[in-house]
Amino acid sequence: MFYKCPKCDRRWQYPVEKCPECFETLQKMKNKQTKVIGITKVSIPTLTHPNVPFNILLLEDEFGNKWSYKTQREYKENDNFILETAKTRDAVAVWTWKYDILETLDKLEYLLNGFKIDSDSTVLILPKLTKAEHPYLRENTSPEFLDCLIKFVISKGVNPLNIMVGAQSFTDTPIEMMAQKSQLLEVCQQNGVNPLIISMAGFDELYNLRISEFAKKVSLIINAPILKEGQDWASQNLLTLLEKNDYLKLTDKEKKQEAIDKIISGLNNIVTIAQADEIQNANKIMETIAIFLAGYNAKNIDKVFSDILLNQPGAGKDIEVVGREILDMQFKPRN
Amino acid sequence: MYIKGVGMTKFDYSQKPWWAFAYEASLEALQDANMKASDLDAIVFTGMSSPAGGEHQTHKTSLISDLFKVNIPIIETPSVCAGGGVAFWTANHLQGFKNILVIGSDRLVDSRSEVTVEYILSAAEKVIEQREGLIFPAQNALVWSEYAQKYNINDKVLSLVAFKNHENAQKNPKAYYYKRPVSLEQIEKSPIVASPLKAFHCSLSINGGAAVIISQDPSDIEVIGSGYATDYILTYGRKEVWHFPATQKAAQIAFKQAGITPKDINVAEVHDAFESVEIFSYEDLGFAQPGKAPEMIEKGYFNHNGTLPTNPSGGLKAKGHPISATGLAQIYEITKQLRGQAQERQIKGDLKYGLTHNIGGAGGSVAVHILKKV
Repeated sequence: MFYKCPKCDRRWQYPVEKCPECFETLQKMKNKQTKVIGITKVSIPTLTHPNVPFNILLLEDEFGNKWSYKTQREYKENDNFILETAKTRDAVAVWTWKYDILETLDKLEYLLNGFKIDSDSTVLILPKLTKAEHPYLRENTSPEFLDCLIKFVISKGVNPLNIMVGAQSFTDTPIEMMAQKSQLLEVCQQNGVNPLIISMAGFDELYNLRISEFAKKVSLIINAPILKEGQDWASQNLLTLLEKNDYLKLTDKEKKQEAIDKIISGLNNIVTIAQADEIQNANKIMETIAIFLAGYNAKNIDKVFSDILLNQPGAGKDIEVVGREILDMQFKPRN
Repeated sequence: MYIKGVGMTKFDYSQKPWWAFAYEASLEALQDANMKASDLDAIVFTGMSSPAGGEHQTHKTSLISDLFKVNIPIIETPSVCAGGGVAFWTANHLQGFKNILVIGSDRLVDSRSEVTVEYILSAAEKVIEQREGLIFPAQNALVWSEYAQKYNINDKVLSLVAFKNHENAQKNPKAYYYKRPVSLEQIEKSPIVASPLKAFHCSLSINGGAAVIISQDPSDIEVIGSGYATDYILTYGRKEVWHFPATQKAAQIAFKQAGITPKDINVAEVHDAFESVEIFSYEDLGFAQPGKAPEMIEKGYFNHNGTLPTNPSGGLKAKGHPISATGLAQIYEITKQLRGQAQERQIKGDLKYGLTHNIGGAGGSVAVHILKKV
């Protein structure tokens, strides 16, 4: 994404707010046409780009903006550059984060052919909120991501009063403490949306599980976890919807998987948008991965993510991936 | 300001800590200047290798104080590959100090090449460009392709520049490729790194240090031009992507200060992190008209016995490129050439003006200096 000053036409790729010369608010430059104007094929592996060879395209849009793009696909100069969108509901969209989460959300929505949000929608957002920790530890969905997600939903015409941010504690730590320290509560308050303590509302039956009554009432659930290396947080975060006692009965991985399967097959109003811009690696140290993933099948997102970080190479090979290809994004975090 | 003394280590893969390279080069510079540490009024240091070797030393100024047993102002000016040039520029613009030691040293090569590349990539844009695979060879390959396409240039000229620099390095005892001949055929047959750039079109990551002492007291070498300019880290966000405009700007400043023109220069050290960069830098520095440098290279204009001998040291390509030491090693070479002390590689004739050109990143920071034999 490029941003320009409406007065002097200076342009940025960094999402700064104002022009330092004119002090005008910068405008996003949404392009429609992109051409390939240069190509180099890289043959040497590096730690962050182990799969060689790969191509780097030099792209240019109708405004004359130029940027680079990594791909395994072959292009010729002057080719039009067009991104294919998802053909199946099980597809996973992967897109790079370049400091602008809203731009990434726009691209993920395009790749999945729309999230079907309109002014009549009621939306339940499920951040990952499992510990009373500061945002820099990357335990919980970041306040920046939640903030952008809420603004993204509001931009579709949804009344803030029809947006809920739901969470509950499955431990002895009160959810209020988690919400406060993670800064997610503050984000809800700033955007005028309702924080929902799932455990304090009612529950419905879903197969033999007790699940938040709001899961069936809302038109869309946005499962919005932050991912971690070596863990399945895209799908596990869906368990937030369960009644606490039911959750505590899920004592092993198989039982959790079974419950996740039931939630995915029983609720067809869930889209997962998972944050993997800056995450915890296997040693709980922050690592920049610089991607977001989205899809209607959270388990597929976990598979694609573990394939990208080479925790389970090949795990995503049978999954339709749109946007950035697994091979292009793959690298092993420094543990 | 005047250059009183110069020093540099041999550029190699020895595994001394960064400060040992700095110390060795500085001792030589002090001896060359006939000075001792207590004669110094300030030190400017540049280096980027604190991540290497697990050392993570970020208080280098204090460590340098300990090395030289001085309590004078010590300033650190990291600017990656242009660190040496920028440190030298900073020293030349400091006011109120009579004798200033400028040091650049790095030990970046201490592990597998992928790890070294990671260190070096800390000089590039991490999220917007590197996630797209833009390692430096790829970045420079795309810039070269734009240049070659604009002026209809054959890639073979890249090998000619590499060959010239390898020939020169064979005569430089401090160069990695000293007495190690490399043929044009070897260069041409080296594997592609990022098309069309081949392995022998890329400089040699290596370890080393260099040091220069400048003074307000006159000496035989005067710094008569000192230019420094910066440019956007996102290469393709610049208006022109087929060369590095910061070189033009830094050169204009330096030539204006010096009161001479590019035609007056007798010898030059031009930043050849990639041989493509040396080629279009000839044009940005004013030595060639736009698109005409390749033709001049083919005619031997920049060879050791040419009209404007360039990179007599072997350049970054064949002397080696210990990142922050490079800019000061260029000053070392030009000083030696102007003094007539370059021994086997001494350029013949009456040398009066020499130029150094030092680039950080893909044209993100550039220092140009002009030295005069007094």
